Amino acid sequence: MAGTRQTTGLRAGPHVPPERAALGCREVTKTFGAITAVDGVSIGIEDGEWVSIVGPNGAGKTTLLNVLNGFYDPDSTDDPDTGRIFLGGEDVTDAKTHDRARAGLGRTFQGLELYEEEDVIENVMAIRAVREHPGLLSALTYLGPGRQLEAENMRRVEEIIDYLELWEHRHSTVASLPLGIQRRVDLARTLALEPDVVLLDEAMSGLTYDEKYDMFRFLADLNEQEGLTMVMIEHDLEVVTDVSERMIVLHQGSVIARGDPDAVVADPEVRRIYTGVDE
Amino acid sequence: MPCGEYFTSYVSRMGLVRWRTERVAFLLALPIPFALPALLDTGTLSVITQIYIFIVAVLGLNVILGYAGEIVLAQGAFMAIGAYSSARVITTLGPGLLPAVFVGGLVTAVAAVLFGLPSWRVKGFYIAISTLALQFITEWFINAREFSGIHGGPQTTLPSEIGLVGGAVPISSIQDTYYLALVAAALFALVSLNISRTGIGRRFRAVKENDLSSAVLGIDVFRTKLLAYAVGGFMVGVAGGLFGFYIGTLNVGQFGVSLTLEHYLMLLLGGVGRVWGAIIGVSTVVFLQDELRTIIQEVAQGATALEPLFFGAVIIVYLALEPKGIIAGLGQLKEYLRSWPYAY
Repeated sequence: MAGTRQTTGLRAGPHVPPERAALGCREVTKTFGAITAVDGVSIGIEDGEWVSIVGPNGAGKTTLLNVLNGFYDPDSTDDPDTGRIFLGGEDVTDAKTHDRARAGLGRTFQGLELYEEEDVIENVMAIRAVREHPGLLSALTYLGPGRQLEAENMRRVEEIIDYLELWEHRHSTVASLPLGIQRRVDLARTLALEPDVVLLDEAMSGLTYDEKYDMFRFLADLNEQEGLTMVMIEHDLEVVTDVSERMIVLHQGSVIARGDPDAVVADPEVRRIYTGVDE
Repeated sequence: MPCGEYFTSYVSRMGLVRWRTERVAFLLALPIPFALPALLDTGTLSVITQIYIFIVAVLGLNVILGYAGEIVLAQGAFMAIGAYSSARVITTLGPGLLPAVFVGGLVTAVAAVLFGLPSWRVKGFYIAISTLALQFITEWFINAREFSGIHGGPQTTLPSEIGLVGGAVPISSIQDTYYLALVAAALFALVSLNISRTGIGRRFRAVKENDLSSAVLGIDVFRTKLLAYAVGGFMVGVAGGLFGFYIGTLNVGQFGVSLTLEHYLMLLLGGVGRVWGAIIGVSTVVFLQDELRTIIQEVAQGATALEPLFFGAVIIVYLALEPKGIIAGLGQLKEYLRSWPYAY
């Protein structure tokens, strides 16, 4: 689903029209009392793109992700064309969080939010069961198609575990694993959904250099070979410019620049916001 | 020469009796419960029958609390609803014990779902209070004689002989009841194990562990919780129906908060979230209760407070030593023996 490219330039609007993007939103605002966390943001992520959302702390990055996946409802507006969220060309503004996930929107969490008392396989199987699961009677009796479906789910989960090189941790309780492995489990869980778009909320946070390298290897493969669309929140600008095709800069809830990462990083306004110094 | 057992298919890996030693143990143990009626006196058989019935009830509690993490304080009410509904069906329609118990399970499932509705907005102790309300409402409702047309009266006596379906296969003796309860316990233990190893159980546990990420990753949290209430409620209701027939005369006092606490004790002691934990917990507590009552009767007649005091002490001491229950302790013992005499 390639969208029609719009105007270029760091202050231009969305790269592709939100309603025709793999993931998009049109003039979305989210306020908490007197605080406007996201202020009239429009984005359009093209199918297969790797886009990074950056900005200083409190810029509204995670809130925007929460609005996109339905954890927060955007503020309602009088104009029916604004405050809308689109996934794969469908308006999903009124869809519940779990329905958006089932429609192809995966997500990892900055704070991980794993099932800590369960082992790695069970963490991934739990989400695989969202994608494919037998009916109630078939599950209770564990006969015929129900049993085959569970076996097929297990086979698929083992493939994901192999892909992310988690073999040796398969039966380890997640709480006992180091952060780098937990972040991989978080990604494995999302991949079990077989999503079209993945929101990565600081997926590298707290990782060592080697762990970051591994994570990028997996993400780059997923993006290039599987064509998975990625929207990544990341603080490390060096990382962002290395991997992203496009970059969106948020400041005080608004988009202040977007486009080619090298051009965005070179932009004086972006540099002023990041360094606090006029150049 | 083979040096171990290996699974060659995912189906065999997900089986319940997977290892050769397990299969041998299962085949050796299988005839024992069927032979017990010929070996034991009726008093002991009656105690074991109660264990089987309570296993069904505690497995139901385990689905709601152990799998889905919902704290329900209406176990007594669920049992009562199952018991009185079944009794009402038996005394008015006479379809036989199995259909009556099935209806009792269904009515309980509906009640459980209704009182699980607040889980849309609240969780933890708030939902516990909501379900506690069901306990008091149920006791009030059954005690209210103006509703006798619905529930049949607070004291209902069941016929001592009931056909399993219609008039066929009459159930009258303690031996008959024993076999019926045994089949029910085995059936619902199997169902619980199946829930645990399929997507339904995994979604239950996911919601218990982290409802936020579960929702974001596609699990309908509210619907999953209600499903747990329905399945668990059905099981407790069926146990209530069987318990009603087992005791013969229903009295609402038998289904009070103390029954709820007793079943919590069984589950906590055995191991929350584990089918074998529920089975071991129920067996331990019921046998201990029976022995304790005999001892109290002999040495300190009338000292009824000793029983709750004893179980209070047991739960505090044991859970301080092994918070995950007897089943976890047995697991550690098994690991120790497996690697003995070397630690690694």
